[in-house]
Amino acid sequence: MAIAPELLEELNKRRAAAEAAGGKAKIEKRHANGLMTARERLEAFFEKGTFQEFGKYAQHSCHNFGMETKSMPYDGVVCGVGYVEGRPVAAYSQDFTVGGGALGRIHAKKIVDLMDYAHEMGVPVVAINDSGGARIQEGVDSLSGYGQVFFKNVFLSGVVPQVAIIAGQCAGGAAYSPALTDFLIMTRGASNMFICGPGVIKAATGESATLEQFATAEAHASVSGNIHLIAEDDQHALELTTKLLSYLPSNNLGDPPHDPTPEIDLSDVPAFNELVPADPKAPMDVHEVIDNLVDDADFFEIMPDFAKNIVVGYARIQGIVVGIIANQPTVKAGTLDIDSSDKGARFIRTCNIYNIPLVTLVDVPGFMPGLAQERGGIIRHGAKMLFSYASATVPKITLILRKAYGGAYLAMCSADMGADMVFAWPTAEIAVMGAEGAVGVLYRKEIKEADDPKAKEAELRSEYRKKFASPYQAAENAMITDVIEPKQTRAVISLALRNTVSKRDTRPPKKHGNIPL
Amino acid sequence: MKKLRITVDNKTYEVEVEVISQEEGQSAPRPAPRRAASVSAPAAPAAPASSAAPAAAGDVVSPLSAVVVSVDVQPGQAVNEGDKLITLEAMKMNTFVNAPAAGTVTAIHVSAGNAVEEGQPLLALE
Repeated sequence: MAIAPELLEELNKRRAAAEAAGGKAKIEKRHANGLMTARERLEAFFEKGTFQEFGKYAQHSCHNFGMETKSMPYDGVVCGVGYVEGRPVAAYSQDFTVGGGALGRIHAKKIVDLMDYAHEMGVPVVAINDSGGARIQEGVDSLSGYGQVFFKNVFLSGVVPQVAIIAGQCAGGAAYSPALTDFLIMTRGASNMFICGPGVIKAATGESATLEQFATAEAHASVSGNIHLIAEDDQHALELTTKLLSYLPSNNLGDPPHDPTPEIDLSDVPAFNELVPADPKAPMDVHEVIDNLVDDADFFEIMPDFAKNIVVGYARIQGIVVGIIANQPTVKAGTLDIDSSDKGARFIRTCNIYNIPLVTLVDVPGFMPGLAQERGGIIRHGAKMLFSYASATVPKITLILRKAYGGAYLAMCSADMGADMVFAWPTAEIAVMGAEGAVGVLYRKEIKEADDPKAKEAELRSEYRKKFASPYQAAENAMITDVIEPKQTRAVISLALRNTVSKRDTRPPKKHGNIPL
Repeated sequence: MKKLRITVDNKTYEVEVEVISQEEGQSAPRPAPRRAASVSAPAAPAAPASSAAPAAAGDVVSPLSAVVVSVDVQPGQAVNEGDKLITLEAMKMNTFVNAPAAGTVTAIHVSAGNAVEEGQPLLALE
């Protein structure tokens, strides 16, 4: 007794048909262009042999416009689960060789089913987008499919990590599924993402615009801020996703994959002392501070090309996963402005969802002054930083490197905004405003009436600086945990993380807070 | 006849003044024409209202509104990518403007002490 051979033949035939995707010619063309196929992408992403496919033999259900005679293997989207660095991850990959990767009813159902699975199992979802858009022949079924995917994106938001890779076309409504995920990665040169293309823009408004201006990976990474990372090619996009997931728990109920060192290294790092310029006006590249703070100088920066006056990203400090938020004084003096507030707030909230402790490095002279900022709603945008920090319940460690002025000091997670531990270097200047502004307000009359107003002003400024532009007024008011020598930074932050990783912070029950959007 | 109130040494006098003649071209100020009623917000200011010319190709522009502390290169000087060209100060912090690419400084548009706006050309690099 054995299984009838014709049944196995049938299975093998169907398997081969599915794996042939859109045909040899189309696949060869992709390879010639340096692109992987949808299936190759998933096989490269998952550990060898661990990929379990869902719905390999699915077909479209369309009977319009002659579609009933056409075969669409797996309805243009390869779905399944597999292992990534030892943990299961759900992923789908749209196949541009099958009907242009267009989304129809069954295509959408497969994606939604996979997301339901990811929700129930508590595993991340990776979406590899490469699609011409809606399958027009299916009419509103296709539109409805997008709606169902969007709904599921939102349903899963804050539950399991969602990463979208834009590896080809992603146009019109299709762009909103990636936009609803946690992280977007675009491949350079091979991908475009937009709502209305140049043709539609021209027809609707007469405006001339090229895809290079608004739809490429570079445009989204540096101008629109719609994406988080640029990949050089398909393989790199998958590597970035793997690296990103290495900092995230599988779902919101788990801790991130901490790998604490058995013993905490408390030795000094003299490089920190060397880093600090003697002149408080000299810019200090905060990347150098971060590289000395984190394990192996391995800092995984998120949105490195957008709003560079704030630096955010993931790292480990003696094995503890952290999200780092740092002002960058070499760009726009390290001020908080509309874009940097949006970038920072989004990152803080992502960390909070996934239980990742926050380490904030403060060197901020204030909010960016200017008409464009005020008119652009810096009040609303800057408030996102305050809101995000105050509502985050993860451990919050703040280190004040140098400047910490006014409202921006609060917006960088001061003790009042819920920091669990606040450290300051002796170079810290914690004050309500700078000496120039403060002296003008406090001593207007004295300066005016002095014999030499300029000398008097300089004298008063220097007095103010000595008294207030230091960490000690805040320290005397018990607003900071400790003033430390820069070289102690790594030891102190490492200890603080071990001490706070058990944090429990319970808030009153509510649907959700009302972050100013 | 115009009625004026004048204060001298903290004493206030009310005086009446008759305008007998006015030099041509100096007619009494007319009230500004009333704006057309509108509920729309005032238009955003166009390009920075400074004397700055729009940036041309090869111009290195200011990354933020600031005061020029020093111009660190000379006209005609050859520079490498990343070389410091100009030092600005804003928000209690110096910002270095570095060469975006190797080239020769062909013109310098600002000098120390000048206030510059975001996007204003600082110098030309060829």
